[in-house]
Amino acid sequence: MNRMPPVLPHRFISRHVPALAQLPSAVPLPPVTSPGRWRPSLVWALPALVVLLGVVLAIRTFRQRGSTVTITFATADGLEPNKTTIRYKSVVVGIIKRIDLLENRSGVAVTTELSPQMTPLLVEDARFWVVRPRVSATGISGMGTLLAGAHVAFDAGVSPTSRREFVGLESIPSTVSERRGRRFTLRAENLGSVDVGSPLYLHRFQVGQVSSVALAADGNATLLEVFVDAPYNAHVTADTRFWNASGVDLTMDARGIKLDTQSLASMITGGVAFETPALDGPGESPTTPLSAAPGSTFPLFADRTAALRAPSRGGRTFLLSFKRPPGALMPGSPVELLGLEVGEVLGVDSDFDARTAEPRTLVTLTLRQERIRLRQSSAPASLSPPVPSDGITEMLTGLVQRGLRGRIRTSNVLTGRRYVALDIVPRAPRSTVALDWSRQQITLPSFEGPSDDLVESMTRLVAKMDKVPVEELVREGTLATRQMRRTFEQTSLLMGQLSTDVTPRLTALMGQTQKTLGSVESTLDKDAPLQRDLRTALKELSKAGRSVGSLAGYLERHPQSLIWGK
Amino acid sequence: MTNAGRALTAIKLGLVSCRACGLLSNRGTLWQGGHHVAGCPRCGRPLVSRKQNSLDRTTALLAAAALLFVPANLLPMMTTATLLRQKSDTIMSGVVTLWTTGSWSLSTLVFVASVVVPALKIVGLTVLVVSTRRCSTWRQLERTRLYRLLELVGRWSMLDVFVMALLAALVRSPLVSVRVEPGAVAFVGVVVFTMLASISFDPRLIWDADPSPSRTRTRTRKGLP
Repeated sequence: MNRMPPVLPHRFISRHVPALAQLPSAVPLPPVTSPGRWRPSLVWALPALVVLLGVVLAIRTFRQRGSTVTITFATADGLEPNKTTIRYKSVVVGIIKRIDLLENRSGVAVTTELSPQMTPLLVEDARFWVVRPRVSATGISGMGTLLAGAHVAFDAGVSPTSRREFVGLESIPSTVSERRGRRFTLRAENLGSVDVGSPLYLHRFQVGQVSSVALAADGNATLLEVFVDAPYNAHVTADTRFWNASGVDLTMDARGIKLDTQSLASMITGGVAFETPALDGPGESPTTPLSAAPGSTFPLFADRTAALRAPSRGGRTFLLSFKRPPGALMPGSPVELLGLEVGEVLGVDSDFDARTAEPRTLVTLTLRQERIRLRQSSAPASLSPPVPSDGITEMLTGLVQRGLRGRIRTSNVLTGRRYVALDIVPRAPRSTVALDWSRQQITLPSFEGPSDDLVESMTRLVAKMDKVPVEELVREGTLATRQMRRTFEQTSLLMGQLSTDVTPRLTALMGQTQKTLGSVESTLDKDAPLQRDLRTALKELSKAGRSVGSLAGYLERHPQSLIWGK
Repeated sequence: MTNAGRALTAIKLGLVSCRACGLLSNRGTLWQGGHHVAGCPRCGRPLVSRKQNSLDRTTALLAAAALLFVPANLLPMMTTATLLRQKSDTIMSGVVTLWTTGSWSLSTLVFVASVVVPALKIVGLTVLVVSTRRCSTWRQLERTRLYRLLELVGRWSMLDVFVMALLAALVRSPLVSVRVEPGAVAFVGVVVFTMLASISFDPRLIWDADPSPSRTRTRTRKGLP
């Protein structure tokens, strides 16, 4: 097949280069069976292999290509392209490829590439947030990011709708989607020291935490989202009360001073506690309360007392109207029914009647039904049907008829704390208010008799004493004393004169008088003629009187004798 | 070279030197009949005047090297994971990093050894193979010098590979770890294939381009598809 290069004849070489003739001749080798047609050299397998490898690699890269996700953040603080990772459960699942400013410069758009396993998790409610080191009283988080720099954390969603563009969270969500439990919204007037991550307590046992804090849309309140962990969320019912368990709760009420705290951590970082008041009082069959629906909104009370004081949903409140100012009566003051504390004052408001132009005090109060044990008597079935008969209504109706009146009394003289007493007032004026049980707020008759309050009596006494013109009195007294002294002096002078001038004359007078009396005595002596005459005269007179008396008696019996004679 | 065609060659004289023991022998008529028909009278090794399939082998290896050159430069070479961060570097990003951190000399060295030399080898060998295939008599001396240069610098390409192998083997601590990435494999492929290609190239073929085209063409065209 191949033509060999022409070789110069051996003779020619030997003749011109004799030394070459001495060279040994090559030995023949067994011929190799050469293939009939041209076969590509095996070495070409190498580039072919490389190409194959490249193709395989390209296909694999293409198939493993992850999802490109754009996340919007307010700031790219700590984020770096091709360096900052996306982590899911702390496993690196992606990397930031690019960071661009948004068109309106309100934030940054972070373009990330996530591994293909993450693709099914990229749904509408997936969440992204930046993990930076955070130090708080409850603990330190993101410690690893202190040295390694921030990373973007990712929490998978459950929504079926796939999504590739997200708005990153600015705060770290305290809960992840896998955590079982329920979210509830609390509406608070004041956030206090509660923050994201603050613990949530039930009987001082932590059962959850505050997952987010936001201002309500109307700006009038703050909305806290709390997350109650799975087994405990059943304890949250529609009647559960939440209160701010932050710090120290110092209360001073009619019973004295009370200090209440939750755990030390909550004292510092704030916390929320909740409790469901036992509504089923003794005697009633305990009903299993339905746990509240997820996302329900509850009010967040300032403290436990306020929380438990609040009327239960659909509970009745009572109104009392007074002419007198309430004094130290305030929300939380106790309400006593016949001397037993059964409720609390909810609010004290003023009510100005434009017609009569006189201010009145409106006291709203609630009665705790569980505090009133009712002996189930044979209830009179004659009550009108729309009236909800729950025992209390009957009891109060009866009591009001017997003279139950509400009044404000003082419980603690020192602090001036007051309470509302519902007492039976004997000889009370007839109540002008009718009990309307069909309403949610029932006006009870009030009584404004003379106050038996010690403080008030003393106040009145002091006021009266105030009115006494002490200075004038003293002045007049001084004047009187001076005059009296003068009188005394004159009297002593007079007495002196008397002893010197009058006494001798008096002695003489006495002698004369004695003499006169002697003569009088002689005149009036028993045997004196005057005496005797007088006695006979008197005898005659009595005789005449007797006859006149008999005449009068006869005339009475026989008046006709005046005309007809005897 | 004007006198290239007139040079007296061993082939013309029917002489061949054994590549194993170096014995020069007279091939005589044994050349006719194909390859491997003549053996060394002393050691018995098949006698060949030129490297077997030199241009084909060089071309194939060169193609493989050129193909691998793309992933070697695009894929990350190694990943350095420290406590602080994890960093994947391609050759060029490593060069840039070294340059920006101030190590200009080292950066230059790495750039030359890892990018310039392999590229030079691939381009240079391609020039040699193409020109030799065309039996070009163009600048034969310069082409020979180019070949010598390629052989000389070729070994420097392994510098990177050695550095990486050492790093990956030595740096093993919980704080820092060095991991070799697929790009390094491709790069080793490039270096190895270019070395093999330059070995398989027979520089004597440059000078076989004879003014009488009919002879050399038949010689060099052999084996082409």
